[in-house]
Amino acid sequence: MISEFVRQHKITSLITGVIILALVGYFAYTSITRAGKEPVSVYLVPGDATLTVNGMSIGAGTAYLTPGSYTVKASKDGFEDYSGTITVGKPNTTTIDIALTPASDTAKQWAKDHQNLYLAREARAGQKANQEGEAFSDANPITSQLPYSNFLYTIGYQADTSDPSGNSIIVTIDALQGYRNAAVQKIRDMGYDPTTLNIKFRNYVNPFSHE
Amino acid sequence: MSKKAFILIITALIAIGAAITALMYYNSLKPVAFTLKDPDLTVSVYRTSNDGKDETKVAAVSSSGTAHIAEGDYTVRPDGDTYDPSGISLSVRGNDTKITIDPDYSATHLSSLLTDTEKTALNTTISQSYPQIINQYTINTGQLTKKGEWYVTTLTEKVADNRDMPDTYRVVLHKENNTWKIIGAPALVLTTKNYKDVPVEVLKKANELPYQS
Repeated sequence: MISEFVRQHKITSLITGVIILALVGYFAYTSITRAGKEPVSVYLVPGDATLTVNGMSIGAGTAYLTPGSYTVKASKDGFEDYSGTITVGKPNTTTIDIALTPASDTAKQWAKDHQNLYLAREARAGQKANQEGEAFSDANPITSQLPYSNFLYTIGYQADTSDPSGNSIIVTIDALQGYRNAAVQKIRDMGYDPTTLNIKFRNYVNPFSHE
Repeated sequence: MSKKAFILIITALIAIGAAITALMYYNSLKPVAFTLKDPDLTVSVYRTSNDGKDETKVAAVSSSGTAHIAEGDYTVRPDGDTYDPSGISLSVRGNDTKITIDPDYSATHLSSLLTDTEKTALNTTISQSYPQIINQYTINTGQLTKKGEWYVTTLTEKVADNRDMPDTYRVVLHKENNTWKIIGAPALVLTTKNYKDVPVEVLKKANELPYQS
Protein backbone atom coordinates (compact mmCIF):
# COMPACT_ATOMS: atom_id res chain seq x y z
CA MET A 1 0.00 0.00 0.00
CA ILE A 2 2.81 2.36 0.87
CA SER A 3 4.80 1.44 -2.22
CA GLU A 4 1.69 2.08 -4.34
CA PHE A 5 1.28 5.47 -2.69
CA VAL A 6 4.93 6.33 -3.30
CA ARG A 7 4.68 5.31 -6.93
CA GLN A 8 1.67 7.52 -7.43
CA HIS A 9 3.14 10.52 -5.59
CA LYS A 10 6.84 10.37 -6.50
CA ILE A 11 7.69 14.03 -6.11
CA THR A 12 5.78 14.47 -2.85
CA SER A 13 7.38 11.36 -1.41
CA LEU A 14 10.83 12.50 -2.46
CA ILE A 15 10.42 15.91 -0.87
CA THR A 16 8.99 14.37 2.33
CA GLY A 17 11.86 11.89 2.47
CA VAL A 18 14.44 14.65 2.07
CA ILE A 19 12.79 16.74 4.78
CA ILE A 20 12.69 13.80 7.19
CA LEU A 21 16.34 12.97 6.47
CA ALA A 22 17.30 16.59 6.97
CA LEU A 23 15.49 16.76 10.31
CA VAL A 24 17.02 13.52 11.52
CA GLY A 25 20.42 14.71 10.40
CA TYR A 26 19.95 18.06 12.16
CA PHE A 27 18.90 16.49 15.46
CA ALA A 28 21.75 13.99 15.25
CA TYR A 29 24.26 16.77 14.51
CA THR A 30 23.05 19.01 17.33
CA SER A 31 22.97 16.10 19.80
CA ILE A 32 26.55 15.23 18.99
CA THR A 33 27.95 18.77 18.84
CA ARG A 34 26.07 19.98 21.93
CA ALA A 35 26.80 16.98 24.10
CA GLY A 36 28.29 18.13 27.43
CA LYS A 37 27.69 21.79 26.62
CA GLU A 38 25.54 24.35 28.37
CA PRO A 39 23.24 26.75 26.50
CA VAL A 40 24.29 30.37 26.99
CA SER A 41 21.95 33.17 25.91
CA VAL A 42 23.84 35.97 24.16
CA TYR A 43 22.53 39.53 24.10
CA LEU A 44 24.55 42.16 22.29
CA VAL A 45 23.98 45.88 21.85
CA PRO A 46 24.62 46.90 19.08
CA GLY A 47 23.58 43.57 17.58
CA ASP A 48 26.28 43.70 14.88
CA ALA A 49 29.17 44.20 17.28
CA THR A 50 31.98 41.67 17.08
CA LEU A 51 31.83 39.20 19.96
CA THR A 52 34.43 36.57 20.73
CA VAL A 53 34.58 33.97 23.45
CA ASN A 54 38.13 32.70 24.00
CA GLY A 55 38.87 34.07 20.54
CA MET A 56 35.96 32.22 18.92
CA SER A 57 33.45 34.46 17.18
CA ILE A 58 29.80 34.05 18.22
CA GLY A 59 26.63 35.99 17.54
CA ALA A 60 23.55 36.98 19.47
CA GLY A 61 21.13 34.17 20.24
CA THR A 62 22.10 30.95 21.97
CA ALA A 63 25.63 29.58 22.08
CA TYR A 64 26.57 26.16 23.40
CA LEU A 65 29.71 26.17 25.52
CA THR A 66 31.50 23.53 27.52
CA PRO A 67 31.52 24.36 31.26
CA GLY A 68 34.56 26.37 32.21
CA SER A 69 36.00 29.90 32.23
CA TYR A 70 35.93 32.08 29.14
CA THR A 71 37.33 35.47 28.16
CA VAL A 72 34.61 37.49 26.47
CA LYS A 73 35.46 40.42 24.23
CA ALA A 74 33.13 42.69 22.28
CA SER A 75 33.94 45.60 20.01
CA LYS A 76 32.54 47.86 17.32
CA ASP A 77 33.82 51.01 15.71
CA GLY A 78 32.73 54.06 17.65
CA PHE A 79 32.12 52.15 20.87
CA GLU A 80 34.39 51.33 23.80
CA ASP A 81 35.76 47.83 23.72
CA TYR A 82 34.44 45.37 26.30
CA SER A 83 36.44 42.59 27.97
CA GLY A 84 35.33 40.30 30.75
CA THR A 85 35.19 36.69 31.93
CA ILE A 86 32.35 34.30 32.55
CA THR A 87 32.24 30.83 34.06
CA VAL A 88 29.85 28.54 32.22
CA GLY A 89 28.31 25.93 34.49
CA LYS A 90 28.37 28.22 37.55
CA PRO A 91 24.86 28.97 38.82
CA ASN A 92 23.22 32.11 37.39
CA THR A 93 25.75 32.46 34.57
CA THR A 94 23.77 31.30 31.60
CA THR A 95 23.85 34.62 29.77
CA ILE A 96 26.32 36.91 28.08
CA ASP A 97 24.65 40.31 28.13
CA ILE A 98 26.77 43.17 26.79
CA ALA A 99 25.80 46.72 25.87
CA LEU A 100 28.78 48.61 24.51
CA THR A 101 29.32 52.19 25.67
CA PRO A 102 29.18 54.68 22.78
CA ALA A 103 32.33 56.77 22.34
CA SER A 104 32.04 58.61 19.01
CA ASP A 105 29.35 61.15 18.17
CA THR A 106 27.85 58.77 15.63
CA ALA A 107 27.73 55.98 18.20
CA LYS A 108 26.17 58.26 20.77
CA GLN A 109 23.48 59.26 18.32
CA TRP A 110 22.89 55.60 17.53
CA ALA A 111 22.55 54.81 21.24
CA LYS A 112 20.11 57.69 21.66
CA ASP A 113 18.02 56.41 18.76
CA HIS A 114 18.07 52.86 20.20
CA GLN A 115 17.62 53.66 23.87
CA ASN A 116 15.06 50.89 24.17
CA LEU A 117 17.81 48.29 23.63
CA TYR A 118 19.86 49.72 26.51
CA LEU A 119 16.80 49.89 28.77
CA ALA A 120 15.96 46.27 27.99
CA ARG A 121 19.47 45.29 28.97
CA GLU A 122 19.14 47.14 32.28
CA ALA A 123 15.87 45.35 32.95
CA ARG A 124 17.54 41.97 32.33
CA ALA A 125 20.44 42.91 34.62
CA GLY A 126 17.99 43.90 37.36
CA GLN A 127 16.09 40.66 37.05
CA LYS A 128 19.30 38.64 37.21
CA ALA A 129 20.44 40.58 40.30
CA ASN A 130 17.13 39.84 41.99
CA GLN A 131 17.44 36.13 41.21
CA GLU A 132 21.01 36.02 42.48
CA GLY A 133 20.01 37.92 45.60
CA GLU A 134 17.21 35.47 46.35
CA ALA A 135 19.51 32.48 45.85
CA PHE A 136 22.08 34.08 48.16
CA SER A 137 19.51 34.80 50.89
CA ASP A 138 18.05 31.30 50.65
CA ALA A 139 21.51 29.79 51.07
CA ASN A 140 22.45 32.12 53.94
CA PRO A 141 19.39 33.05 56.00
CA ILE A 142 21.61 34.34 58.84
CA THR A 143 22.57 37.33 56.66
CA SER A 144 19.11 38.80 57.31
CA GLN A 145 20.25 39.39 60.91
CA LEU A 146 23.76 40.52 60.16
CA PRO A 147 25.72 42.61 60.81
CA TYR A 148 25.07 42.52 64.55
CA SER A 149 27.05 44.77 66.83
CA ASN A 150 27.26 45.70 70.50
CA PHE A 151 30.06 47.23 72.53
CA LEU A 152 31.66 43.80 73.12
CA TYR A 153 31.61 42.19 69.67
CA THR A 154 30.51 42.54 66.06
CA ILE A 155 29.24 39.67 63.93
CA GLY A 156 29.35 40.21 60.17
CA TYR A 157 29.94 38.24 57.03
CA GLN A 158 31.96 38.23 53.83
CA ALA A 159 31.81 36.24 50.61
CA ASP A 160 33.60 32.90 50.60
CA THR A 161 35.61 33.15 47.40
CA SER A 162 36.60 29.49 47.58
CA ASP A 163 33.03 28.49 46.69
CA PRO A 164 32.50 28.69 42.90
CA SER A 165 28.73 28.99 43.35
CA GLY A 166 29.17 32.46 44.86
CA ASN A 167 26.54 31.72 47.48
CA SER A 168 28.72 30.82 50.45
CA ILE A 169 29.72 33.18 53.22
CA ILE A 170 32.22 33.37 56.03
CA VAL A 171 30.75 34.68 59.28
CA THR A 172 33.25 37.07 60.81
CA ILE A 173 33.54 37.88 64.50
CA ASP A 174 35.39 40.89 65.91
CA ALA A 175 35.38 40.68 69.70
CA LEU A 176 37.06 42.04 72.78
CA GLN A 177 39.33 39.59 74.55
CA GLY A 178 37.21 37.09 76.46
CA TYR A 179 34.00 37.75 74.56
CA ARG A 180 34.47 35.56 71.49
CA ASN A 181 32.55 32.73 73.12
CA ALA A 182 29.75 35.21 73.86
CA ALA A 183 29.63 36.15 70.18
CA VAL A 184 29.31 32.48 69.22
CA GLN A 185 26.52 32.11 71.77
CA LYS A 186 24.80 35.10 70.17
CA ILE A 187 24.77 33.25 66.84
CA ARG A 188 23.10 30.35 68.65
CA ASP A 189 20.61 32.75 70.23
CA MET A 190 19.77 34.00 66.72
CA GLY A 191 18.67 30.46 65.96
CA TYR A 192 21.67 29.20 64.00
CA ASP A 193 23.96 26.32 64.85
CA PRO A 194 27.55 27.58 64.68
CA THR A 195 28.70 24.01 63.97
CA THR A 196 27.46 24.29 60.40
CA LEU A 197 28.77 27.79 59.68
CA ASN A 198 32.14 28.88 58.38
CA ILE A 199 33.31 31.19 61.18
CA LYS A 200 36.41 33.35 61.21
CA PHE A 201 37.61 35.35 64.18
CA ARG A 202 39.28 38.60 63.18
CA ASN A 203 42.38 39.97 64.92
CA TYR A 204 42.81 36.63 66.63
CA VAL A 205 45.34 33.84 66.62
CA ASN A 206 44.41 30.43 67.99
CA PRO A 207 47.15 29.68 70.56
CA PHE A 208 46.68 25.95 70.02
CA SER A 209 47.35 26.17 66.29
CA HIS A 210 50.87 27.41 66.83
CA GLU A 211 51.94 25.01 69.56
CA MET B 1 -31.38 -32.25 60.92
CA SER B 2 -30.27 -34.02 64.06
CA LYS B 3 -28.81 -32.08 66.94
CA LYS B 4 -25.45 -33.82 66.47
CA ALA B 5 -25.24 -32.80 62.81
CA PHE B 6 -26.18 -29.22 63.68
CA ILE B 7 -23.40 -28.99 66.25
CA LEU B 8 -20.93 -30.49 63.79
CA ILE B 9 -21.87 -27.96 61.13
CA ILE B 10 -21.61 -25.02 63.52
CA THR B 11 -18.25 -26.27 64.80
CA ALA B 12 -17.00 -26.66 61.22
CA LEU B 13 -18.15 -23.15 60.32
CA ILE B 14 -16.42 -21.70 63.37
CA ALA B 15 -13.22 -23.59 62.54
CA ILE B 16 -13.31 -22.45 58.93
CA GLY B 17 -13.93 -18.88 60.00
CA ALA B 18 -11.04 -19.02 62.45
CA ALA B 19 -8.76 -20.47 59.78
CA ILE B 20 -9.72 -17.76 57.30
CA THR B 21 -9.18 -15.07 59.92
CA ALA B 22 -5.78 -16.50 60.82
CA LEU B 23 -4.83 -16.70 57.15
CA MET B 24 -5.91 -13.11 56.52
CA TYR B 25 -3.93 -11.93 59.55
CA TYR B 26 -0.85 -13.83 58.49
CA ASN B 27 -1.05 -12.43 54.96
CA SER B 28 -1.29 -8.92 56.37
CA LEU B 29 2.08 -9.37 58.08
CA LYS B 30 5.08 -8.18 56.07
CA PRO B 31 8.67 -9.38 56.38
CA VAL B 32 10.98 -6.77 57.88
CA ALA B 33 14.73 -7.41 57.77
CA PHE B 34 16.40 -6.20 60.96
CA THR B 35 20.16 -5.66 61.16
CA LEU B 36 21.37 -5.11 64.71
CA LYS B 37 24.91 -3.80 64.64
CA ASP B 38 25.87 -4.88 68.16
CA PRO B 39 25.59 -8.57 69.05
CA ASP B 40 24.32 -7.65 72.54
CA LEU B 41 21.62 -5.34 71.22
CA THR B 42 17.95 -6.26 71.46
CA VAL B 43 15.12 -3.99 70.39
CA SER B 44 11.36 -3.75 70.72
CA VAL B 45 8.93 -2.49 68.12
CA TYR B 46 6.11 -0.24 69.28
CA ARG B 47 2.97 1.04 67.61
CA THR B 48 1.97 4.50 68.82
CA SER B 49 -1.65 5.32 69.55
CA ASN B 50 -3.42 7.91 67.40
CA ASP B 51 -3.09 10.57 70.08
CA GLY B 52 0.63 9.82 70.31
CA LYS B 53 0.52 9.25 74.04
CA ASP B 54 0.69 5.48 74.35
CA GLU B 55 2.88 2.83 72.81
CA THR B 56 1.98 -0.81 72.38
CA LYS B 57 4.77 -3.32 71.95
CA VAL B 58 4.14 -5.45 68.88
CA ALA B 59 7.42 -7.30 68.42
CA ALA B 60 10.74 -8.07 70.05
CA VAL B 61 13.89 -8.57 68.01
CA SER B 62 16.89 -10.14 69.74
CA SER B 63 19.24 -10.61 66.79
CA SER B 64 19.60 -9.71 63.15
CA GLY B 65 16.98 -11.45 61.08
CA THR B 66 13.45 -11.16 59.78
CA ALA B 67 10.35 -10.35 61.79
CA HIS B 68 6.81 -10.27 60.44
CA ILE B 69 4.94 -7.09 61.23
CA ALA B 70 1.68 -5.65 59.89
CA GLU B 71 1.90 -2.67 57.57
CA GLY B 72 2.02 0.63 59.39
CA ASP B 73 4.28 3.07 61.19
CA TYR B 74 6.23 2.06 64.26
CA THR B 75 8.95 3.13 66.62
CA VAL B 76 11.90 0.86 67.37
CA ARG B 77 13.64 1.30 70.71
CA PRO B 78 16.67 -0.48 72.15
CA ASP B 79 15.99 -2.51 75.25
CA GLY B 80 17.75 -1.91 78.56
CA ASP B 81 19.83 1.00 79.80
CA THR B 82 22.97 0.56 77.73
CA TYR B 83 21.75 2.24 74.58
CA ASP B 84 20.21 5.61 73.79
CA PRO B 85 16.46 5.05 74.22
CA SER B 86 15.56 7.47 71.41
CA GLY B 87 13.16 5.83 69.02
CA ILE B 88 13.96 5.02 65.42
CA SER B 89 11.09 5.35 62.97
CA LEU B 90 10.07 2.26 61.06
CA SER B 91 7.57 2.36 58.22
CA VAL B 92 6.43 -1.07 57.03
CA ARG B 93 5.17 -1.03 53.46
CA GLY B 94 5.21 -3.96 51.09
CA ASN B 95 7.62 -6.89 51.29
CA ASP B 96 10.93 -5.07 51.07
CA THR B 97 11.34 -3.24 54.37
CA LYS B 98 14.82 -3.18 55.87
CA ILE B 99 16.12 -1.38 58.92
CA THR B 100 19.57 -1.16 60.49
CA ILE B 101 19.75 -0.40 64.20
CA ASP B 102 23.04 1.05 65.43
CA PRO B 103 22.23 3.25 68.42
CA ASP B 104 24.72 5.22 70.46
CA TYR B 105 25.18 4.43 74.10
CA SER B 106 22.94 6.10 76.66
CA ALA B 107 24.22 9.04 78.70
CA THR B 108 24.15 6.85 81.80
CA HIS B 109 26.23 4.11 80.21
CA LEU B 110 28.69 6.62 78.76
CA SER B 111 29.11 8.18 82.20
CA SER B 112 29.93 4.77 83.63
CA LEU B 113 32.63 4.32 80.98
CA LEU B 114 34.31 7.60 81.97
CA THR B 115 36.32 6.09 84.79
CA ASP B 116 39.06 7.89 86.68
CA THR B 117 41.61 5.89 84.69
CA GLU B 118 40.05 7.04 81.46
CA LYS B 119 39.94 10.68 82.60
CA THR B 120 43.62 10.51 83.49
CA ALA B 121 44.46 9.08 80.08
CA LEU B 122 42.43 11.81 78.36
CA ASN B 123 43.94 14.65 80.36
CA THR B 124 47.43 13.27 79.84
CA THR B 125 46.86 13.17 76.07
CA ILE B 126 45.76 16.80 76.09
CA SER B 127 48.62 17.93 78.33
CA GLN B 128 51.26 16.13 76.31
CA SER B 129 49.90 17.59 73.07
CA TYR B 130 50.30 21.20 74.23
CA PRO B 131 53.07 21.18 76.83
CA GLN B 132 54.06 24.83 76.30
CA ILE B 133 50.72 26.41 77.04
CA ILE B 134 48.50 23.87 78.77
CA ASN B 135 49.38 25.30 82.19
CA GLN B 136 47.53 28.44 81.13
CA TYR B 137 44.30 26.46 80.84
CA THR B 138 42.03 24.38 83.02
CA ILE B 139 41.17 21.02 81.48
CA ASN B 140 37.53 20.53 82.33
CA THR B 141 35.82 17.16 82.65
CA GLY B 142 33.94 16.47 79.48
CA GLN B 143 31.72 13.75 78.08
CA LEU B 144 32.12 10.56 76.18
CA THR B 145 29.81 10.33 73.20
CA LYS B 146 28.64 7.93 70.47
CA LYS B 147 29.81 4.53 71.72
CA GLY B 148 32.46 5.91 74.03
CA GLU B 149 35.08 6.22 71.30
CA TRP B 150 34.68 10.01 71.09
CA TYR B 151 35.32 12.47 73.92
CA VAL B 152 34.57 16.18 74.03
CA THR B 153 35.66 18.68 76.61
CA THR B 154 36.63 22.30 77.12
CA LEU B 155 39.82 24.09 78.05
CA THR B 156 39.25 27.31 79.97
CA GLU B 157 41.82 30.03 80.03
CA LYS B 158 43.09 30.81 83.52
CA VAL B 159 42.64 34.51 84.18
CA ALA B 160 44.46 36.51 86.79
CA ASP B 161 41.53 38.66 87.79
CA ASN B 162 37.99 37.44 88.35
CA ARG B 163 36.71 40.36 86.32
CA ASP B 164 38.54 39.16 83.21
CA MET B 165 36.56 36.94 80.88
CA PRO B 166 38.36 33.73 79.90
CA ASP B 167 38.29 32.17 76.47
CA THR B 168 36.96 28.62 76.39
CA TYR B 169 38.27 26.20 73.80
CA ARG B 170 36.54 23.04 72.68
CA VAL B 171 38.50 19.90 71.95
CA VAL B 172 37.63 16.50 70.48
CA LEU B 173 39.49 13.26 71.10
CA HIS B 174 39.06 9.90 69.39
CA LYS B 175 40.07 6.50 70.71
CA GLU B 176 41.97 4.49 68.13
CA ASN B 177 43.61 1.15 68.94
CA ASN B 178 42.92 1.80 72.63
CA THR B 179 44.82 5.11 72.51
CA TRP B 180 43.28 8.56 72.74
CA LYS B 181 44.22 11.07 70.06
CA ILE B 182 43.27 14.74 69.69
CA ILE B 183 41.49 15.46 66.41
CA GLY B 184 42.47 18.88 65.04
CA ALA B 185 43.40 21.74 67.33
CA PRO B 186 41.26 23.02 70.20
CA ALA B 187 39.18 25.94 69.00
CA LEU B 188 36.61 28.45 70.19
CA VAL B 189 34.03 26.72 68.01
CA LEU B 190 34.30 23.46 66.08
CA THR B 191 32.77 23.61 62.62
CA THR B 192 32.06 20.99 59.99
CA LYS B 193 34.21 23.00 57.59
CA ASN B 194 37.32 22.75 59.76
CA TYR B 195 36.76 19.30 61.28
CA LYS B 196 35.63 17.23 58.33
CA ASP B 197 36.66 13.90 59.86
CA VAL B 198 34.59 14.32 63.02
CA PRO B 199 30.91 13.26 63.06
CA VAL B 200 28.74 16.35 63.12
CA GLU B 201 26.86 15.17 66.20
CA VAL B 202 30.20 15.02 68.07
CA LEU B 203 31.02 18.58 66.99
CA LYS B 204 27.60 19.78 68.10
CA LYS B 205 28.04 18.12 71.50
CA ALA B 206 31.42 19.83 71.93
CA ASN B 207 30.01 23.22 70.97
CA GLU B 208 27.09 22.80 73.36
CA LEU B 209 29.34 22.24 76.39
CA PRO B 210 28.85 25.18 78.72
CA TYR B 211 31.46 27.85 79.22
CA GLN B 212 33.46 27.34 82.37
CA SER B 213 34.44 30.40 84.35
